[in-house]
Amino acid sequence: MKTFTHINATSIADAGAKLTQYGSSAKLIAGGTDLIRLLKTRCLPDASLPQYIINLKTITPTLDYIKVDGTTLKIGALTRLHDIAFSTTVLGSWSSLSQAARVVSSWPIRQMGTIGGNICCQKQCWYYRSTWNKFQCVLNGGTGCPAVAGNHRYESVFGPTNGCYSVNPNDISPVLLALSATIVTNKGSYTADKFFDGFKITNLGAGEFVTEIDIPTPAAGSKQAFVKASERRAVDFASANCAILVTPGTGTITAARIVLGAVATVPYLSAEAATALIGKSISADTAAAAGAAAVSKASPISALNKYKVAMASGLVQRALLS
Amino acid sequence: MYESFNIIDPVTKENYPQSIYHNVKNLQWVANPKILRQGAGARVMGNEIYSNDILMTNLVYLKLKRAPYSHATVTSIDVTKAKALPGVIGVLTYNDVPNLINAAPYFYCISKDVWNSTECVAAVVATEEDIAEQALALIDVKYTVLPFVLHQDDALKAGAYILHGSTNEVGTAAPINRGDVNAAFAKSDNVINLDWRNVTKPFFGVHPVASVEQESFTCNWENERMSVWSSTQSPWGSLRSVAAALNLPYSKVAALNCRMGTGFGNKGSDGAGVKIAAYFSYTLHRPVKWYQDMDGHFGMNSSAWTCQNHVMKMGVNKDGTITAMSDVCQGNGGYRGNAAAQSGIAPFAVRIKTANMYLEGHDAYTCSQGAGIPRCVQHVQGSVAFSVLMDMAAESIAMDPADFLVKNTYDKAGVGAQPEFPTYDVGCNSAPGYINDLIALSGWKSKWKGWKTPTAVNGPKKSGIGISVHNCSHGSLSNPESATIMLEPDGSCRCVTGSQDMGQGWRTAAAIMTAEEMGIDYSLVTSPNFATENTQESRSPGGSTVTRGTGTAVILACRDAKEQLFKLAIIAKKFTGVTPDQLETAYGYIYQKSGAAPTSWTPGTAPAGSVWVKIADVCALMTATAFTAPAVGTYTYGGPIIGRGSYATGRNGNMMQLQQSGTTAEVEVDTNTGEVEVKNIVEICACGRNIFYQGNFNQIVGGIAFMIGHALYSGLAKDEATGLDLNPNYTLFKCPTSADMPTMSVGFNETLEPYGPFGGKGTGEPVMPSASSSIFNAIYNACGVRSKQAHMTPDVILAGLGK
Repeated sequence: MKTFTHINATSIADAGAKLTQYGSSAKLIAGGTDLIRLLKTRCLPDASLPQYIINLKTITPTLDYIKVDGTTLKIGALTRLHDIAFSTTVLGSWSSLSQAARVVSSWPIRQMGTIGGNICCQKQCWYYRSTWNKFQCVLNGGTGCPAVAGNHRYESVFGPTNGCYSVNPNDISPVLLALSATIVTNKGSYTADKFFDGFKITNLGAGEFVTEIDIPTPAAGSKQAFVKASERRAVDFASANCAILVTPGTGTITAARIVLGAVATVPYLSAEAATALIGKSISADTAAAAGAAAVSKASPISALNKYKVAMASGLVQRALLS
Repeated sequence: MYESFNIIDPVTKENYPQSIYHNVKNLQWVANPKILRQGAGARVMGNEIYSNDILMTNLVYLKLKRAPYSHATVTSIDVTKAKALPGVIGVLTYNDVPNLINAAPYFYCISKDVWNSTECVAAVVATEEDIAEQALALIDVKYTVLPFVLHQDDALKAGAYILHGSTNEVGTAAPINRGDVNAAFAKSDNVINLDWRNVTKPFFGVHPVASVEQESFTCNWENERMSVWSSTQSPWGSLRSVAAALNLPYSKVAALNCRMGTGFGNKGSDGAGVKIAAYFSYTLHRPVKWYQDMDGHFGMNSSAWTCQNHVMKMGVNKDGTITAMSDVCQGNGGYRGNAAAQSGIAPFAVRIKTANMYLEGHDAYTCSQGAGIPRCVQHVQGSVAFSVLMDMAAESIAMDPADFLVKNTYDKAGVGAQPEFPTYDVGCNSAPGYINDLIALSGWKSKWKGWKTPTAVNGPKKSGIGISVHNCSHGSLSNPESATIMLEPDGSCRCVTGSQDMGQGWRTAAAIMTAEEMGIDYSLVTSPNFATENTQESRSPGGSTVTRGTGTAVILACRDAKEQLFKLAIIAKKFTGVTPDQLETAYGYIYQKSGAAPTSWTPGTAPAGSVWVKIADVCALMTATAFTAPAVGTYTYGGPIIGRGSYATGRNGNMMQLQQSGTTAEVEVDTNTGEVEVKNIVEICACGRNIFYQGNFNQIVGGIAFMIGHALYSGLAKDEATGLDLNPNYTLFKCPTSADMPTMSVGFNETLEPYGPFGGKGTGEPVMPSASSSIFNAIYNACGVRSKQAHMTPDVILAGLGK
């Protein structure tokens, strides 16, 4: 593993200043569950390997909190996924976030991994993650996406971003989009639909990092859910996942946010699925119609990743009928 | 997690005709579920020493530079910058590697010619690991990239790019050709065909079987002696390869065994690292540590990835009789041309009763990893396909598949039981008893509701049940085997064998057999890790035969020790008028066979006419004063008592064991998403005598876990455009987690193997084929999608459902 200099940040401002000072030679560490893996495997080009690691856990006041301010749930960026999964506050009105947090990776990872780190986690494509950067894909300093001609079973069925087909397989991000969250940074804030980028994961600028997640309380009587399909039941990224917020949960639907994860380069908010639901009530038929609508614009690379289309459609149905 | 743990029908058969091992009554430690594993305390406390824990003063680190191509040749290599990096103290390339280290073509440690992407083109030694890695990046290598072939069917096609010599075919063995297959097919009511592809584009192979503990070696040349701390299951192999590489006598090399984390198939290869580490240590006079990187671990050393494709055919009559069976197998021998196909087809000869069988195998050179052993001597790959074929045949005649297995599973034993090997004595055959046990324990008759009839339907989720059994032969591959029993003056005992405990519990099994044969308390027996300097060579564990093989040597060593013990007792006049062969041990006592034997650990006073002497009291005589000679000194009775046992399979003639397993699996398939959840597994293992009860149980559970991955997702993936591995590490490659494990019931069908100590056969491997194929058959029962390949991933399920 490449050696580095470890720096403890004392405040949000201090972390931002150090991040600006060291630029691309620095990376932030919170739980570190993915960063250490990146360093160990040397999957990044040598020039991208950080010389400085800035530790956010030493920031005061701490960014590890879950609280409700008025009708808004506020979660500090350093809050561990385990704490979110079992928070009675989160379970109260934001249960889909709890559902998602419970299925991220494994118990030990959730004990270390933070929500801020999770939504900024780098892509998992095995071409990008190859040791010693053997494939030099477009995401890793090279050109083109080798997965297109190669093994793209896990890649996007909704097209590429900047030539990269690797999906955002995150479990938390679709929920944030479904619940219309705001991502607060040291420099400002983003609505969830503006936060994610299909190529560089987030739209965070230089010296910018996540400090808090704000989630409004869903309308009374709404239905929310998160479901995930993965090849194995733990320590696995989603083959596809789905977060929903439907208002109201029973009776005629007036608003719906259906978000698919791990099928596109960003969490995919399906307007077609919402349209299929609005004006109807949840039933097996409407769920099937919404599922079909959700993937109506899907365009798999080949038969190899076509399964994601049916899988995502099935998850929409499962979430709606849960 | 585990619903139940049953023993079914323990057989108390004694004096089996050919056996010298079954005459032990009132077994105390064999099959005792409360045995504490050897070294358990140290493991629980985290005090075990693994080879990678070895740290020494002046230690330096070895790293290997691997080629980023599947087939290439190096045109130039410049190590100037690497050598100039502070902290680098040695660089080796193909230009300067000694010939003895680069032993043979395709087995080079450092090679100019690259036949696989994990081949090593240079090596660096540095004072820190990170410096060594930085130095690897500074080595400038220029390659001429050559065409490559990944798949055996591509390699064996007419006009294929030839990798070695004049043909890509490694070689073929004489096929098994029994009866008249074509005539039998012609007369059959039904003929079933199965084109099974273990190697598919999405997932290239099944298992890398890279053990979780990566290979690690530390070599230290000091005081004219090379010490090697290794994590291999074959420390004797390490000794020999290091000695050969450095042109040293074997006696100048010592393999010092540490705790071994896992093996799970094949951790017997030294790879390039140990020889290069030894070379650097020898030349630098410093200890050198090499820790296998994951790419190398998956790609080069641990070789058990799936590599066989099978074209199978089975004839069946409506009464359930299998009339004939044929299989033509193509194996992927990888860049080293390993034999894959032959061992893949071999078990079929003892799987079913049929007079007509044709089996043929071809292995091909490719630019892939060398094919190896997925914890069942490559039987798994073909046997899984075979079990699916059996299911298809049963369906074709609308017969309950369990009944079909009972009717057709090979059930012969004795000399000539297998026609192809008429002089071989096939050990005890537990069929059909273990299959009937499986049917009973699983509740098959009440759960299975018919072909393509799910056991339950819940919306898009459909449940199903499947059954599979496996017979495979394990036998004459284990010479030499040796053991030493050292009795201490306090009556305790050490059992040392040259066979490595690779995590399966061999040391515990050896200690159990020692305690049982010596007639002493298990807590008095220690079976330690060994150093090659302190014991004789013995076989590497493998093939599920170490208990039978080295275990037999343990029994013989115990008998040698007991004879010395009895002689000492007679010399000390504890017994009079008897010879050693008239004495025996039980419950910590020596007794005359002609009299009464103790029947408990506190037997009290021997009845009239019988003599009971504590073993510990006789052992104490080793250091006790026998007599004092005036002006000369004090003489003890003598000692120590060291029993030696040496055994070679050949002494028993040609023999083979039949190891057997049966599994039922219950699964739930989501027909909307293609997800499969294994809900329940019932497993019956025909292990012979169940010597190490908990160890056997653990092996079976481990095998089930392994094969859930085999059935569903544990695939080594390759990029077809470059031939490079895509997931050669445990963050990308998926093996099952505890969350993926179903409820399980494990039962043992105990019979007595004629050649095994106490009647033991073997446990580790047979569960593998039956577990995964039962899942395949259950998926078919649930949703009607028939597996014709390893890995029933969601894409395969959904495609099968037309989605």
